[in-house]
Amino acid sequence: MEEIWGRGTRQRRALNMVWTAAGEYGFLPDFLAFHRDGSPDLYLNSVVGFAHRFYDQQLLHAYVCRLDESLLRELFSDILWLGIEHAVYDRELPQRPVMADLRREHARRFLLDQEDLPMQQLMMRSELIHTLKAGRCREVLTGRPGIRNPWDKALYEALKYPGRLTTEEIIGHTEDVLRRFFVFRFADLRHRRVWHISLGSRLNAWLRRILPAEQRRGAGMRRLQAALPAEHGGALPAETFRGWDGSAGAQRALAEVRQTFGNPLFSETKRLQIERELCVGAHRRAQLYFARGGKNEAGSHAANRAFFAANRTRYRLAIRQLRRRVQSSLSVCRQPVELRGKTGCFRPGLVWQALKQNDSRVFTLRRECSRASFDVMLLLDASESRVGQQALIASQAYAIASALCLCHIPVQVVSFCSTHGVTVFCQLKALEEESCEGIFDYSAQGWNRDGLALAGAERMLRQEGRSSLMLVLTDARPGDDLGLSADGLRPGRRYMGESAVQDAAAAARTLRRHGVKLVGLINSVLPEAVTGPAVREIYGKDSARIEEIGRLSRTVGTWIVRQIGQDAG
Amino acid sequence: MLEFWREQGVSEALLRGVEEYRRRYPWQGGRGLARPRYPYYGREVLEAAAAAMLAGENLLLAGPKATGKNVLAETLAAAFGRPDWNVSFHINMDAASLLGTDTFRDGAVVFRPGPVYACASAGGFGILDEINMARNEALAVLHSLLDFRRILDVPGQGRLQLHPAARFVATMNHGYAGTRELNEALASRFVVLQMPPLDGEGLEKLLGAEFPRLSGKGRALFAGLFLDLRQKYENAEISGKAVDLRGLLDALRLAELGLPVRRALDMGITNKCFDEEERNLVADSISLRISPHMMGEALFAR
Repeated sequence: MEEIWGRGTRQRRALNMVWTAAGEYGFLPDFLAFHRDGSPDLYLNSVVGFAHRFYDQQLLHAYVCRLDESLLRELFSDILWLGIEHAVYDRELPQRPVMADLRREHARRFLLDQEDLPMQQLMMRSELIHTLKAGRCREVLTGRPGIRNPWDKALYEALKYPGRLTTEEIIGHTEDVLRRFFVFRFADLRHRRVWHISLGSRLNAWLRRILPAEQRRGAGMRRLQAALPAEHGGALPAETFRGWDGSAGAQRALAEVRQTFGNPLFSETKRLQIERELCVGAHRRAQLYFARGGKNEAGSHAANRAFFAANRTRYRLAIRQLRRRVQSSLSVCRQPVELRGKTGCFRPGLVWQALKQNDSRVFTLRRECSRASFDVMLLLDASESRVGQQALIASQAYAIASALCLCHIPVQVVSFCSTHGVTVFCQLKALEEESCEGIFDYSAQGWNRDGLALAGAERMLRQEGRSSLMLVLTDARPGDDLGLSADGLRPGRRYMGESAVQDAAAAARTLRRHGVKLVGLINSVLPEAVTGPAVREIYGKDSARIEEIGRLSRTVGTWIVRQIGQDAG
Repeated sequence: MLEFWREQGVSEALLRGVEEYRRRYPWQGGRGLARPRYPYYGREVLEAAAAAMLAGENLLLAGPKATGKNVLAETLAAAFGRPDWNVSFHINMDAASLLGTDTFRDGAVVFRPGPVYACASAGGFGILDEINMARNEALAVLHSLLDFRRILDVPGQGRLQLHPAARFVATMNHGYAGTRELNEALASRFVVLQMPPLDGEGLEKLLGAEFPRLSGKGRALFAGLFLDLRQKYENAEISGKAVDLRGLLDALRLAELGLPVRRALDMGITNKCFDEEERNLVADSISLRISPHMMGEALFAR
């Protein structure tokens, strides 16, 4: 776990170095640079950032992709970056003299990192690139590259790109270098763009060392692995519509669900009572199960925790911001308490105390205490469509719940999904629980019968005259393999698309009628244009998208603050 | 002050208006006139604000951190030749804190005027700092003062007619920790000026004015650093603690006294981030501009 924490932090730090130099945020660079000990290399990451700022990224990226098609892709990419490093340094130095210091420090660390390299890394190292990089570092530190071989020396000198070069010129220059120093020809028409090396005697020797393995470098530039979750988060599993097979099957399904989701939250009597009340009409073949939570697929807790850890600075910032915003609003809506004082509102009835008891506190001051007379429920859609964003949703829920707990607002977190015709609720955090750690047990599987879920979630709210705010983290795409039963004259329908949305919208309206404030926090890989109609149908205007961490506190804070205001009258 | 405005290209018609105001309302009270610590740069904003003051409007300056809201408010008071009453709003602000309160002195109940009462009666410039920190109920007492009635009814003190020279300038940072929406009733009593963030040029001018010995290179360096940090904050990578113009100026003061620049910046900015990761990100941004070996002498002319 420590390793994961550290890696995420270091990657974020490296990304920030790139972004600061680029003067632009949000993009993911093709490369990040680290020292051998894993710490980010400020100089090289800044070079990546400056390259982003100075050069046409589309052209450069396309060229790197072309280099990727060659057999010596690692070597050629490194050659390109050696050229760019020189050009960027040359260009930025006049405006930023600190670049000289940073470059020297980088050179010192690079040469230091090369000492005592394990044999395995030495074998995997490209000697040519190492010669060129070490030469540049030595030149930075001593003024002399120390390269004796004339061919290496000529290549080394050719990579001193001047700062005035444009993107096209950088690419052209690199092409010239590769043609001049690495003889190659295009292959047949089918693979026109793939470069094949025509092996000269010198290269032959190098290739034996370079080609056998993809280099795993401890230090230097590393290609940034796709850090984003898979893009299939919005896809539902293949639709298999099947009928419900009677009470024996229902019992089997319930037993399976109990086995999977763990101990029940309610007694069987209470569960049956809720089921009798809610599983009627179009939902009459459905069942309900309320689990205590804390039992999920092995590894999902760790994966969710690791994702949060990797982004913990940003989530902690979101927690702090949300906490401040909520606390501020809470303090606005406070109950007045009158205290005696030496200034304030004059109370003639107290004057006798000033005269007889020499107590000049004949005024009253108004002081107030905070209050939050409502509960919050975070209802997490835990269907299969959320698998791609499972860790993200768990982290968002954790951040929101933590902030509310810090403000002493009672919050419970419940996930729901539907499997074998049973809509299952998992209580990940109870109202009275102080720790939010259980939220990382969130695990996505099965379907989501939103209409029934909203009705069932209402039964988990505290019924003590306190108002409730229900925040639903969802993609607003209800779907269940158990269809809607025929209800009166209405024929049975699949629980998909329009009919599922309408069912969820009806349940949402019922909740609102019962005084529950319902808000949809939409987190979907699909664009607004696709999710918008369903979101509006179910949640009306009370919805917002919360994909970005940066917007989390602001978006959620708005609804909480509104609730505080309404609650205070 | 008006000469400085003239240098910035503020229109002559407005400058004449300000001079006319000063002639009509010469300050003769005991309270010292406003003396802004820093000059405000920005012709368009100055013209808009001066026009609002000449028209007798109340002005609400809205904008994020470090946009010079308070500097502009003090600048206006100084340019119009009036003293300022600065009231920092907070969540426990109530009517008594603004208008005044009864107190018991020598066996008698006496009225102790609050800053708004004093300002309104003397004809000063009331600077209502972070007005959206207070609750709307507390601010309701200002409604009659800020609208066309220009009066203030204080229980037991009768009615106060606002001095014709008095003006109120409020500041607010929407979305700042601890702030709220300003309600419609109060917002409608102000004309609102959205304050543009200080750009590099404005920052350099400000640094130059505050540190006359700071070289052009030093001004560009520190302005660039501040903009880097602000951009990082705007992208939610760090909190607003490091985007601290006062901290930057403090660091420069320390560097001018001979402290290594990086150490001065650590004290003025970096160490204000108590989260280690955030501190690292801020330190990296500084490292990309300033060498660890840079001494104050490298920035300041002898």
